Amino acid sequence: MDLITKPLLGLALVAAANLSHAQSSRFKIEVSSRAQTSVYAKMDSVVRNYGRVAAGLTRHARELRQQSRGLQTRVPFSLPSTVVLTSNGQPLEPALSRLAVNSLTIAFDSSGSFVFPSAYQAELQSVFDTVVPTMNAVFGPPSTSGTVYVRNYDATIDDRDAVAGGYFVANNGSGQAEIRFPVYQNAEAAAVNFVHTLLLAYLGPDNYGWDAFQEGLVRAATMKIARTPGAMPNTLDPAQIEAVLDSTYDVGPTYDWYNQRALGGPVFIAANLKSTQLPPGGSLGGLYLLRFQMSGSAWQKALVEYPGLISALNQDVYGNPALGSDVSGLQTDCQSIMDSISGHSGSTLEGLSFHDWFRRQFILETGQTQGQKLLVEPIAISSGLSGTDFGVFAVQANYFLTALNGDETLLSGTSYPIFWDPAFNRIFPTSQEDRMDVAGGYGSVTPNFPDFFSGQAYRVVIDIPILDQVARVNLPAGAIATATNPAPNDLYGTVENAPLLLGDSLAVTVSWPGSTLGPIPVTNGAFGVNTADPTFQNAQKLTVQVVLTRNASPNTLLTRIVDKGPGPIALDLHVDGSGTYSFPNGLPAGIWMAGLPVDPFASLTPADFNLSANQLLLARYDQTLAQYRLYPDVESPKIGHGYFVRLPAAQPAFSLDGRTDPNTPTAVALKPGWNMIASPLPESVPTSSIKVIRSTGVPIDYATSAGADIGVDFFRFVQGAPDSASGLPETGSLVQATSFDPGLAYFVRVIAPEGVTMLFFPSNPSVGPFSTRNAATLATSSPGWTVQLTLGDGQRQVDAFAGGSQAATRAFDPRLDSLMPPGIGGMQIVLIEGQRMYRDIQPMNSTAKFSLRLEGLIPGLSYTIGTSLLNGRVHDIRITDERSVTRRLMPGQGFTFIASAKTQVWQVMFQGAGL
Amino acid sequence: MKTRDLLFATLLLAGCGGGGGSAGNATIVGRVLDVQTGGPPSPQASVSVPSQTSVLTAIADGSFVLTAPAGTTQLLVTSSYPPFTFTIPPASGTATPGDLWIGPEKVDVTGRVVDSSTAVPIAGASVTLAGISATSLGDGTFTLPNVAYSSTSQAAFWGITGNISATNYFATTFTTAPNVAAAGIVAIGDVLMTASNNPNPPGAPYDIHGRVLPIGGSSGTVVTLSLGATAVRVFNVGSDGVYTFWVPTGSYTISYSRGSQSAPQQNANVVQTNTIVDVPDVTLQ
Repeated sequence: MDLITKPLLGLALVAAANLSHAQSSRFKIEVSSRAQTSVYAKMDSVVRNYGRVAAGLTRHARELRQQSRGLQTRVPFSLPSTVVLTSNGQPLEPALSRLAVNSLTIAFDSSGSFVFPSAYQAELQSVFDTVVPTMNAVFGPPSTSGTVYVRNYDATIDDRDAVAGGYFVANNGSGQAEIRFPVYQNAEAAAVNFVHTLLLAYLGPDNYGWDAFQEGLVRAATMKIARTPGAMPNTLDPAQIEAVLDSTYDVGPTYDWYNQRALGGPVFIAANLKSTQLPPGGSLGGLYLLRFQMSGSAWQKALVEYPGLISALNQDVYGNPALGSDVSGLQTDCQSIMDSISGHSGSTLEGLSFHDWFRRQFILETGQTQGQKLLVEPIAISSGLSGTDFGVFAVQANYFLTALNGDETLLSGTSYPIFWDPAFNRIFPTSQEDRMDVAGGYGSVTPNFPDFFSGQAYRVVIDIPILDQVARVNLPAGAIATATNPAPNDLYGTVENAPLLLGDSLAVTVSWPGSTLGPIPVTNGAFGVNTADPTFQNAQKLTVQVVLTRNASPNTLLTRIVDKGPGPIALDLHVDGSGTYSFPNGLPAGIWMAGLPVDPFASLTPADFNLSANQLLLARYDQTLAQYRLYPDVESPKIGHGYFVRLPAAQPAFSLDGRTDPNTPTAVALKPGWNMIASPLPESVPTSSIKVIRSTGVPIDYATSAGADIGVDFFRFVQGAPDSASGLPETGSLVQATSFDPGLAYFVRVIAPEGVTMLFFPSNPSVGPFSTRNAATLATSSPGWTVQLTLGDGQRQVDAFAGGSQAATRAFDPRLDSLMPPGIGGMQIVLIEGQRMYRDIQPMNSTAKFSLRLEGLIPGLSYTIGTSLLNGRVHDIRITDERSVTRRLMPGQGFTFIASAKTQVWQVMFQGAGL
Repeated sequence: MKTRDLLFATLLLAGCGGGGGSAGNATIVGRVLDVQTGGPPSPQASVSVPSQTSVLTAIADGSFVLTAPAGTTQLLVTSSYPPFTFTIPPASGTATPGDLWIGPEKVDVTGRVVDSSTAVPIAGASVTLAGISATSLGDGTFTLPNVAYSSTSQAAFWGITGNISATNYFATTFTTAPNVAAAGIVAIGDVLMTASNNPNPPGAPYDIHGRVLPIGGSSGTVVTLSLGATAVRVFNVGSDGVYTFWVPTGSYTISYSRGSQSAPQQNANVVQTNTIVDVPDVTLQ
């Protein structure tokens, strides 16, 4: 049958269709003309443009992902979608009808423009015939019954890497339900995407109100179906099917890493980016692909424990279409379905009620939030490793601004990534990772974290600050694959917040049906192991425990249920990582400055303050605008940020549920000028427990930074007298503050033009194990100052001493100075004052300069420089390497560097030295 | 590992250029980006000092390392687009002029730099965007000429961060979003800067703002905000004559009294709490 010649059903269709976008992959096209060919052309054009856009937006991320895993298969990108034709704003009546038990059949044209090659048609028919039972089991019977026509729309595809993936239209204007599908070169890609498109046909005219559901459920079901043994034709290669899923459907092992707030929102691709011509290059990175993949992987977790969840949920939505746009109702329904499946009330998903689980998955956040957003997407590089590669990661940043209407502006900027070792010393892998330029919303660096601990894995905490946004991820360096152990592990991760003392040991135990593995030692906050058990590769429920052993007594710190997909898994395990934070004394009536010490699970809404939207007064000062952003134009409150809020009545029991790392140093980014910030920890933090980091500098004390990088004073808010009309404080005063108390907000002024990052240390930090060094005691017979300089390679360390004394002279003084014995080729640190000196004490001067020679280095290996003030006073230490890069240290601080030559000569300057 | 290696090679080259160049040369390290794609130019662009040897940008990230005579102040970027000329500070040692944006079209970006608290125009502010620089005039206005632009896609253009610095002000940033070109000009309006030599933090937020005149003579004026017949806020005006309120949406009336003096009642309709209602000045009588 050739539809072009078929008369329409008296509907007014148009050539120039108007588009609206409810969801990323669901298009409404208004039609009012009889020109069916133009309607088809428009539909095809819209879908293909969408495919090209999405492919362009995600190309770079897909390439990186394939490179990182050593995948050679080039899988075409596709994104099946749904088109709804409307007339006068109303969807055309579905061509399919509802029956008591629905089923679909498919039909192909035998002639005309939309005929498939016969072999390809046979493949699609074979997929359909084989997969229907599994589709019905996983996704439930279709919402309607009848015949769906499958037609070839491949003719004008011009980009084989960006095929639109096919689309379903419930009524094509001629009274037929139709799937328009391309001709894939790869049979497995065709099969997977045909299943995806068939599931869209199963949904038919019914749908969910947000991509997190519509896309997520369909993608999870597609993965489940395609991976079910026997569900697909046996002519297809399961490995190729897995390659297709791995490329564009499944986020893979790293769900924990990517579970970040910036993913959330009602649609996955903003309307402005979808409807305008988009940058075709890969510069925009992978946020969009990541959203699609994370949504499918989130619901895949649900299917692990409740294989019938999606099927039952769909049936409920078919029976009550309004449910599809009721997020609260959907959550309640999911809990009911879980209870029904498990046969008891209070059933859980990953150990949590559905509501608690749902709000912990940031990709499932359906609310629209405004403001700048930053997402860090690390990819472990586990193939092609060589040389000193130990912990190699591509660290990508996606930086954008969401407007009130949901439009996204892809921002540019500069970040100075901060890499922390397990003891929260800043690591400088190489200078090329010191800076990340972000353009078009995307930037990346590829650090190789060196082998600091003689082959042991360790945790690297990465903070990516841009202006006043900061995103953090915890990565296990040396735990996945290294140059010396290139076979990737399949179980790896990090542990945060464990209350470690010297002598404690930490381990992880992982159980899955029929097996328990562990204890897996956690070294320096990280672990990695190859389970060597094929059953571990299954999609299944894991029980993960973190066990602390102290004095031979084990204590389970954390038990977490994790639903994993097929293959390996990365775990980011936070002890005490979530909870309810009750604001001390709640929130008072009137105007107030509040700050967040937790990362709330969900966007704050007026309802959280028991207010309607037009009553909520919430504001945050934006120095870039030099004015306040006022609700609803203000960002959704974030951890470490402060806000003015004005409440008509006190809320003495105000609390927030969210993520927190109470025992972990936590960063807050500040932009130049005035910032409203808060302690990111649920405790009062004195300034003596805060380090300030400026661009590529080493962290310095708050007191040292005050007056140089940040303002000398910072301010808290004190409510004024009640307004005589409202009876509530409507004004107040800003008074000098001395510490950052939890739940409160503070004004901090940043002078440094590039901004700073402040690292808040808790009173009992869990950052161990610290490397403990017993600094040698230097006996000096005269007053002065002495600094011990230490060079270490992870296994050994050598020292030299620089100092000043009132009794010293420039010349060698055997009472104070010591010569270094002749070198024997090993690692050595010496001071050069005409001779190689072990101890060089110069005359007292407020600024003392030394030449420092590092000997016996092995180029490419990492070393540490440490400093320790043994007596007297030194304000700061500046070490300048041969590239003229200067690092500014406080006594007691150190840094890591990669040797570039066997001998390196640096300059070291001690400032503010004295008694 | 390709990206890493390429970046490494680029930086290695940069290091060599800095260390091995003759005394009369500078090493210029930068990046060329395409305003139509937000990414590196493809095909590669060529960067040169006018009339001298050029280098190609890196395929992966658009970066380049150019050895040029010390004191170089102009870079020419040629590509599939019209040539772009960028003026940079006199190069010496290793110079990093930042990102140089190119595109199919050129526009002038105009705006005005204003003090956020006094609304006084700021002269002499240094404004940069997309590799183009300008200085604000006496009335605070600036024009950035020949900025790369694409009329078919503003996604990347809007994301470019501009920088403004001025003596005694906090450096600030701006973007052109959501403005588009009209007759070859993208007008972004006022960009506010905050004085850095003022240790006082900003005042409280508000969504109603007004002044009682005469300035200096209105101090002590009681401004009453009412919703219907009910007074909901009272503000005591200071020497600057300014009053503000932060209130939910509603149609408010404002009355003024100072002893025997008063001013005509005003209306303030707060439709959205994110929009500031500027009430016309009133004068005590």
